[in-house]
Amino acid sequence: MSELIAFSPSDFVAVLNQTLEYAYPSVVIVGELSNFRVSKGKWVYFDLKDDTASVKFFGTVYGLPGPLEDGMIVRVVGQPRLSPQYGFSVSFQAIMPVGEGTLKRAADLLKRKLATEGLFDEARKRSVPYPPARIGLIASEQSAAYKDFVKILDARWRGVDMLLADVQVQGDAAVGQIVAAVEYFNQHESVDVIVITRGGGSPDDLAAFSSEQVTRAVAASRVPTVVAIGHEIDISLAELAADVRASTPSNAAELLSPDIADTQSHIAQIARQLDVLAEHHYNQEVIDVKRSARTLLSELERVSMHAKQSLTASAQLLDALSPSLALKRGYALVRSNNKLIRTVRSLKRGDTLDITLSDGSVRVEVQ
Amino acid sequence: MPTTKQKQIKSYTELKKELDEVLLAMQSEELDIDKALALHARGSELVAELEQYLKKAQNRIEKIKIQFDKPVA
Repeated sequence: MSELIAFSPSDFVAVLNQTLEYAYPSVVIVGELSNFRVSKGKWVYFDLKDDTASVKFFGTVYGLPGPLEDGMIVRVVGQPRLSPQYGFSVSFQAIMPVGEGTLKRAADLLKRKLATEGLFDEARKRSVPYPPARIGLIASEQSAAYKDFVKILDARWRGVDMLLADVQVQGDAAVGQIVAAVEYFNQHESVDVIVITRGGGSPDDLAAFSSEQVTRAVAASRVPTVVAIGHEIDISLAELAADVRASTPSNAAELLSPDIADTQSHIAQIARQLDVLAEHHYNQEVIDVKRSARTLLSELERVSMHAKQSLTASAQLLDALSPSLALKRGYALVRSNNKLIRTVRSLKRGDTLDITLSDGSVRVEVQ
Repeated sequence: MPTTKQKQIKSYTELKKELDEVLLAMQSEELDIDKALALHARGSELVAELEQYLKKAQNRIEKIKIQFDKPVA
């Protein structure tokens, strides 16, 4: 009979943890949440139960997808371990609400919480460059959503640089990858807009887009965001937090880009407008030049007329002052030795005088 | 050549913004003919550049070669 090994309690716990770690490095358990509580704002405790069993869980608030409450059905990823003091529990790394009812309850709780914080306020919405030159695209490369977005953008617009962050858009890794991609574009790339997109799906498939982490990452993005998730009636919280919400991936491409044919026609219209305006300014200039020419001509006429009038007046004045006119009226010019005689005082008997009359001169002697 | 370099750097949005400014300036009634002709010449250049852009430019996709968070095993 083989002898059983005797462990100390510490050794037993250590060996059991090694065995658990080897056998179940990570487990996924789905069950109903009960006894959910948060201690000191950081430590989270809860049980997952079904009709016959209950398992204890432990972790931090950083692993929570958002507000949770008892009765929700959740899918938990964690590592089972035996604590030396507190017994068996599973340390959780990720929790995802599952099932339509639970998802809705979780989303409603989170929506109320984030709305209170103002994450969905219209005043926070920024305009998106139209069209953007560089897009940070967060999508699954294999998805129809990614292909639709690129196809519609190609059909509508040209010259856009797209940087694709190929991420999982559903499943346990989706939240972490989407958040990391949003942070990557904000910190390491210069993009005009971040587009996050995936096609439609079940509420479970779309759960990542209503998670607190993704919603907060979208709201905190320094780069404007467009979120386009499938054709669902219910809008995801990430869409509410985005600057622009598009109904489908194709719609996101439409909202970001003008139609190329419309733009070409618009540019041609501007070219015609430029021609018309240039012609208008040319015609205006011709009118101005003609007007200036007319003004110049009329000014010349005025100056010329003034000169003529002035000349006539001068001639008349000259005539009026002319001595010959006085001679015609009977006056005479009297000279002695070519000097004009104005008085009789300088004359003496016997002086010779030259008298000029209107029709000639005579020489006389003073008596 | 500086002009070619400038053309390569300018994006559609920058070209269109300048064209809109040219158009707006040309709508001023106080504009003299020399300025109007210079603006018309620049506007026509911009129109040609934009038409060329819309005809020739292509969308480019580059996949980021880094791995985001690994899925939980």
